[in-house]
Amino acid sequence: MSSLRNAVQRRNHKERAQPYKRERYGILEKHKDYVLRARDYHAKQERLKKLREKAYFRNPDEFYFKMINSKTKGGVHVSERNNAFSGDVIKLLKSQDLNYIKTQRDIGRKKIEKLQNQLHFLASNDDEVVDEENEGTKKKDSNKQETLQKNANRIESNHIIFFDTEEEVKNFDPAKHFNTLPELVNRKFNRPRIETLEKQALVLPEDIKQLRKMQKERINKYQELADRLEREDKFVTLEQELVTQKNLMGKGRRKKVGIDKNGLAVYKWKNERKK
Amino acid sequence: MKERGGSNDRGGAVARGGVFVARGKEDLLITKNLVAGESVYGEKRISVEGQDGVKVEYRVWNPFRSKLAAGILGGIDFIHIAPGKKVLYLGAASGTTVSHVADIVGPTGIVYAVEFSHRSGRDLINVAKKRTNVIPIIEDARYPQKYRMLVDMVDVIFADVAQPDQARIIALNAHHFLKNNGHIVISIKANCIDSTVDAETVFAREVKKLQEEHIKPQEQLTLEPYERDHALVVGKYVRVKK
Repeated sequence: MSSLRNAVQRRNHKERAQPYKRERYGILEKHKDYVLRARDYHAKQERLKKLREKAYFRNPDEFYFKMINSKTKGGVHVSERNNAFSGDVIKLLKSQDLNYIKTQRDIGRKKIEKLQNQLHFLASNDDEVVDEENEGTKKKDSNKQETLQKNANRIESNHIIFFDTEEEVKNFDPAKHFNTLPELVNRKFNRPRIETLEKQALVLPEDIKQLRKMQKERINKYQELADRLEREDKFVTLEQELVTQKNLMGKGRRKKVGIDKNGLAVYKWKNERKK
Repeated sequence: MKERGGSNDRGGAVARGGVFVARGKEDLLITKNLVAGESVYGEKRISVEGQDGVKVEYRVWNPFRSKLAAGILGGIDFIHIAPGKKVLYLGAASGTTVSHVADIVGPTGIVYAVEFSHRSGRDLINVAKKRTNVIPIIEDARYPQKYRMLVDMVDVIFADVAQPDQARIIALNAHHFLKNNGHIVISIKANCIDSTVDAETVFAREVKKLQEEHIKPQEQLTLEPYERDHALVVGKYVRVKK
C-alpha cells in the first residue's frame, strides 16, 4: 500500500519563516536547531561543572613545573609566549600582517574613488582665497572657516591673476574683475556673472523638506569621505612601519638616521660588497 | 539658476558656458551629452526633462580625472572653451576630457585632438567615431607641420602634454594654428618639468617661458585638492600688438 500512496502527488511541505515583526531575532528556530543548541549548551555546562569540581578539590600544596618556569620582572609576570616562535615564523606572520593591511588599504582606496566620483565640490561655497600678483608682489587675503568639505581637501588652491602694471594691482577689485556680485566673489565654482544673473531668473525649488533631506545625505557622504581619507593616511603610516620592521629583521649593519614626518624612525643600511 | 526635474536631483546652475552643476544627493559637474544614450569611459549619465518636455542628457565630468574640470571647479575665470569654439587639444590621451570638450563646443565647434601614443590614440579614434566634431590626430605635437593640413586656425589651445619642453611645444603650435588674441589653457605638472625644485618655482618658470613666446599670462590656478602640484595657466596669444 505504501508504494501506492507514494505514487499520488501530495501537498508540498512548506516551512514556516520567521514572521516579519520578529525578524530582529534572526531566522526562525526549528526543533532540530533547538536540539543542537541544547546539546551544545549542556555539554558546556557539564565541562564548567567538572572544572569547578576540580578547582574545589585542588590540593594547594601540589607541585607544578610552571611554578619554577615562570618569572616576574619588577613584580610583573613575564609571559614567554613570543619566545615560542622562531624568527622565521615571526617574519612570516609579519608579512601576513603587511598583506592584510595592504588589502584593506586597497579596499578603502576603491571606496574613496567611488565617493570622489559622486562628490566633486570639495571646496565649499563660503570660503575661498583670492590672490593678486604682479611679478613677485603678492597679496593674500583668506578667511579660514572650518567646514566638512575642507577636511576632505586639506590643502587650499592658489589663484593668481596677472596684470601689466602696478597700478592695476593696486586697484584690483575681485568682484569687478570676475564680473560678479561682491557677496558671490568668494565662491569658487558657480560664481555667476552679472549678465547671467540679469538674464536668468532664479527658480527656487518648492520642496524644502526633500531639499534638506538631500543636503543631509550629501553632508554624510562628505563626512564619510573625510573619514576614509584619514584612515587611508593611517594605513600608509602603518604599512611603512611594518616594512621597516621587516627590513630590520633582515641582515646588514644599519643606523638610525632620524625621524620622518609621520614620527617613524628612518634607518640607513651600510653598503656591503657582495662577493 | 534653472530648476531641474527628476525625483532625486535638484538644483543645477550654469557654471560656465556649456558646463553645468548638479546638486542633489551628490555634487556633480556635468556637460550636456552630445551623443545621447552613450557613455564614453563608463561615466554616469543624468537625464533631465526640461520645461518644454524635451529630455536632455548630461554626462558626469570627474575633476579627479580631468584637469580642466578641476580648473573649472577651482574657480578659473574663463576657460575660453565655449559653444562654437575651435579648440586644438594637445595631449588628448584616451579622449576622456576631449569628449567633454566636444560636449561643450557642441556641433558648431571643432576639437582637434592631438595624441602621440598609438595605444591611447585608438581609444581617441573611438571617441571621434561617435562625436563628429572631434578630429583625432595621432602625431607628435612637437612637429605641427606634420598635421598642418588637418588643422584650421583655432580660438583656443588646450595643452596637457606633461613634457619638460611643453612651453616650446605649445608656442610652436600657437605660432602655427592660434589666431591673434586667441587663448591658451595649459595644465602644468610640476614633477614632469623639474622634480628638483618646488612646484611654485616650476610654475613661475613656465609662465616666464610662455611670456617669451608672445603669450601673455592672465591667470594661474593650482589644482588642489583634486591634483597635487598641478597648475592650470590661462594666457592670451598676442602675436601683433595694435
